[in-house]
Amino acid sequence: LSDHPQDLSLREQARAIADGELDATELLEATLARIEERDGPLRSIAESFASESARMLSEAPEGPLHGVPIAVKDMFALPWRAPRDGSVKSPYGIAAGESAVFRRLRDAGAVVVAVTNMHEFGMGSTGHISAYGPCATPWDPSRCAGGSSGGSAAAVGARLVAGAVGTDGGGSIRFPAAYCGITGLKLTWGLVPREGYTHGFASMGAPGPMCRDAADARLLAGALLGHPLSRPRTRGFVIGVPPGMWTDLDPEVENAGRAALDALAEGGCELREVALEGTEHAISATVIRLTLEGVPGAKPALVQEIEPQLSPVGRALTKYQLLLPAAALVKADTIRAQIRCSLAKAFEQVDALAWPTTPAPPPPISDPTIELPSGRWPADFGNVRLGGIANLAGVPAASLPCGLTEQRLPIGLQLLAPWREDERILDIAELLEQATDRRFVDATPPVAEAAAARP
Amino acid sequence: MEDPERFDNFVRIALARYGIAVDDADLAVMRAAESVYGPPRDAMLAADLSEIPPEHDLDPSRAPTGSGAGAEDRT
Repeated sequence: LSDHPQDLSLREQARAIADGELDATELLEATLARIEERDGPLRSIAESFASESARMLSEAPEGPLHGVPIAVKDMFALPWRAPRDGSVKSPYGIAAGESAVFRRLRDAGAVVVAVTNMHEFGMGSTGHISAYGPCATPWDPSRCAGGSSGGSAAAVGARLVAGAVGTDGGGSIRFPAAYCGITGLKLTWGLVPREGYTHGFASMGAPGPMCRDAADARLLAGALLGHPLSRPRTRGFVIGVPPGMWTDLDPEVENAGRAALDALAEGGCELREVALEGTEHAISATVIRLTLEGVPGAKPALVQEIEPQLSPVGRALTKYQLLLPAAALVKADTIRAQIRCSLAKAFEQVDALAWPTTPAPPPPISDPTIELPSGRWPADFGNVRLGGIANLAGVPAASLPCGLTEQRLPIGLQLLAPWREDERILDIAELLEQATDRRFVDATPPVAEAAAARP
Repeated sequence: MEDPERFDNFVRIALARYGIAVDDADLAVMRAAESVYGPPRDAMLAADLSEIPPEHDLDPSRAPTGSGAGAEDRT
């Protein structure tokens, strides 16, 4: 495409810097320039940090990401900036400082170059509501980047950065990864220390890497976990396919997902049908858990202070959630127990589970609804049905690029693995990349093609 | 969704209990949310889950106690 260093993969950037073939200062300057040049219609970057990132680079230790610019979601404290949760101010009162994610990145030698846009308070899967403006997918700036980690996904998809950190409480890494055509991995709950994370109180959310492909995600995941992940294994895997999770899908999404399964089978994986219990209530259990965990963690005085500046939707939902009956939380936790047991049983038979990440391609920002066989629904409703199970269970889960629609909108395949088997997902992801000749992970969105074509 | 007027009245009265005012914009968003998320929530509330054992020692970073899953790599 070009010789711009942000067209290199994350691992290529790291290797080139380590080998002395790429100057880290030049990479940082080129990254800031590309953000300036390309991010306008996407609104993926909430704020970039020329002076802070230059200082961080000057002090960067040797490490697997030495000198490599990384963007982080607006949910982590940085020494120079308090997280805002996609709002004017976070209601959880976390001050500027060293979050665990910041420390892990810094210790790996990375440079935090920007904070990325996100859906207000993380309360949406579309990314179209934010104090920073609606975030767009680089595949079509009139469509949603996904949420809540939409800015991280869009920034990686548009080649502004090669790696970004997202968080996922109900699918918030995986949905935007699918909408932006990148690889996003929600790590097993609790493996990354939670201090300085605005939702660190919650039992559903976990951070994770958002990159163009599995090898880059492996590198960034290693930095976040504080230890390198092992080399990929190449043997075949048993992939569980729950029929109930393959219903009520946009036909193009279903076809692309099934084609990906076929590619994995041709690559040596065995596909096996498995049944999951409790999934019919996964939407309610997920939404109720997420909703009710947030309210007690907020500072009432901060909620009152920022309320006039919230979006109308955010303002109404912060009130609406006070009306949920406590019995619903007890039932939700019962469903959660059922789903966790059911997944544990399934993982006695299979190495991973697979179903689509989202039921439909990214919807328009102006109307974030999706058309499914069952009717027209808010995208959030359809997405959470497919995304929440991994959060209720706590297992690692990823979205992998697996296709493009006729309109050239990206489609994601979701994989779930057993607790603490995060690497296994990336192993299977690399098998899928090989089996599809990398044509989906290497596909270039129009915003990058247009810029590359300019003299 | 039930009668919207009944829903609006319930919301106003319940939130007034906490000193929280709602306006028409709030109510419109809440009605939309309730129309989508209310039916599955009510179905879950009505479901007989009494045979499902609770998980008292929840640790989302691990498989449920006694399940045997996640403890070793079966591949």
